[in-house]
Amino acid sequence: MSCLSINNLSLKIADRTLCESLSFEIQTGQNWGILGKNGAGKTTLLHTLAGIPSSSTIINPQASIELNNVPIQQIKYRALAQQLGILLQDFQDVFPSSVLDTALIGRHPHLKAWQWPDADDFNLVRTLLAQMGLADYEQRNTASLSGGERRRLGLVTLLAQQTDILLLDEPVNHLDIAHQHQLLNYLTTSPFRQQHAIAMVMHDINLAKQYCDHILLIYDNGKTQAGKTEEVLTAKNLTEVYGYPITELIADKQSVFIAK
Amino acid sequence: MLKNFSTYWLIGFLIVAAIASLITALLVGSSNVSFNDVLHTIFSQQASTQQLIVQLRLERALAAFVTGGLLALAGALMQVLIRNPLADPYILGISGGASVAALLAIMVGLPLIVLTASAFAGALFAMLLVFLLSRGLKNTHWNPTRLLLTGIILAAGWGAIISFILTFSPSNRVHSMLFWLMGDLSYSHLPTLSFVILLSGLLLSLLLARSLNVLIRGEQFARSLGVATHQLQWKLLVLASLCTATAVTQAGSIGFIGLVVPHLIRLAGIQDHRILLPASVLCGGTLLTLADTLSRSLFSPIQIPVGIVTALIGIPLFLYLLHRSEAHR
Repeated sequence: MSCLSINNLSLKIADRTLCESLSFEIQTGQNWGILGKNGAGKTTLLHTLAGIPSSSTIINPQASIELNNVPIQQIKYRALAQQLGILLQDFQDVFPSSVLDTALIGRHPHLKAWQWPDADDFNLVRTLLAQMGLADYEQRNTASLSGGERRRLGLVTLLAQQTDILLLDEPVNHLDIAHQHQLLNYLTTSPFRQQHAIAMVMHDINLAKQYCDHILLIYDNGKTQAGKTEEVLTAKNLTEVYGYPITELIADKQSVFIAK
Repeated sequence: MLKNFSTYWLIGFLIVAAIASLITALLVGSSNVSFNDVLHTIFSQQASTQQLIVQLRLERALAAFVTGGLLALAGALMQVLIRNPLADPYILGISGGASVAALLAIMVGLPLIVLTASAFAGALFAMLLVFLLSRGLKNTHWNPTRLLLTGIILAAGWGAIISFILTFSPSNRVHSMLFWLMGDLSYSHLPTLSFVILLSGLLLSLLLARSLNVLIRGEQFARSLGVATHQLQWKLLVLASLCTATAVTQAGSIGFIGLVVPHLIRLAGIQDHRILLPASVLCGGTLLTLADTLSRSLFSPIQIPVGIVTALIGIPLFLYLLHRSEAHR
């Protein structure tokens, strides 16, 4: 059972307030969706929660971000990386690297300085690659992958890190509709669901509604709202968040949000 | 990443090649030396003319090897630090500072030892200048882009000063200045201190090597995997700069080794820096030893700057491997 608790967090970049005294808790078994419009501060928040804020992020000194009741600043980098992982928006491959080598990098926090990945590491990574439909890509150069394949490889690398807490920045970006649902199903069904605490930045409101049990809305003026999906995710709130009229429809016995 | 059979083969091959290059350097040159003379020099104390020649060639070959190793190591580290395949040891203008100091020493006609010392001082000064200027006014941590731009613009500045010095130097000095600028090992003495710096530089960077595998894939990504990136970048900057300063002091600005060698090792399939760094040192040393042997024997008795030979070897070799690796993709 892991728990990332955020207390009284305010974030600023230059003079712009991204969120004001935000408090919420991400626990094992929960799937949080983080929604807000472009530039609202979703990524900045996610990086801050992961303990890797950029140097331009200003965090209020009273804020606390605790992993299992220990402030993350007090946890050694490597120990933190064994418990908490983040999927960034993209990975860099300025220097050529194979798909397999890239995925194996996820094992970094678990290996000692002179340790090479062993058979177990390879098995784990190969299983994950197969689960994400990348089994035949092992020796491919990452530069030759499509956007969706890169996204799935990024996820394999994160999952190879085997952390209890997963923070994902737009995990379904670049994915086709089938892969979107496969991926989110994987993350939000048992046994994976019971073992992980997940927070993901999403742009698709309906995917968030379908797969996330908790939602954090980030409004324009630093206001935030966190709670259960059915309470927070309403057409009225979303209209305010995005500054664009959004309405709820019932189609095929499902409710969906559409832009007016 | 896999430490497999072919990795051992590559390292074995590089060690054999290194020894072969040193032996070649002893045997080849303007006067004939036999393999027997070489053995005699190593195993006996008598000093015949032949053995004196071997002695001189050995010092020069070792200097070439150490310089090549330093350049390749500095290049490999700099490429991770800047996260740019085009980075080489001179990209931050460290050799520019050394060159300006060295050329001034040549212009005034100072003895070799003073020239060497001032080149090293110039390199250290250029290094400090980059450190300070890239940190910015707010004393924030630098990022690679800022470091790169600061270094490139300072290098351009050094280049202008070099041209200025060349313009105003007496013509009888300009020849040796050009040699120094192209890289030249003919003044080299036994490289004891350089060797110590190379060895400790390699050992220290091997301690960082595994983190470099992650840093090369992005700073933020590396931090998310538990790498203390700011500290790591500082260590890299200091190590790479010191290696460069030492190499430039030893032999002037020899091009291509620092840029090409790490890529050669990568193209041979080595991505893990725990292997890549020592392999680069061996390969860089071997290449420069061979290049220097060629530079003093091709048009013997005339010696040409070794920088010309490294370019002549480095460019086609690199283009060939690049072509081959793309065909295999």
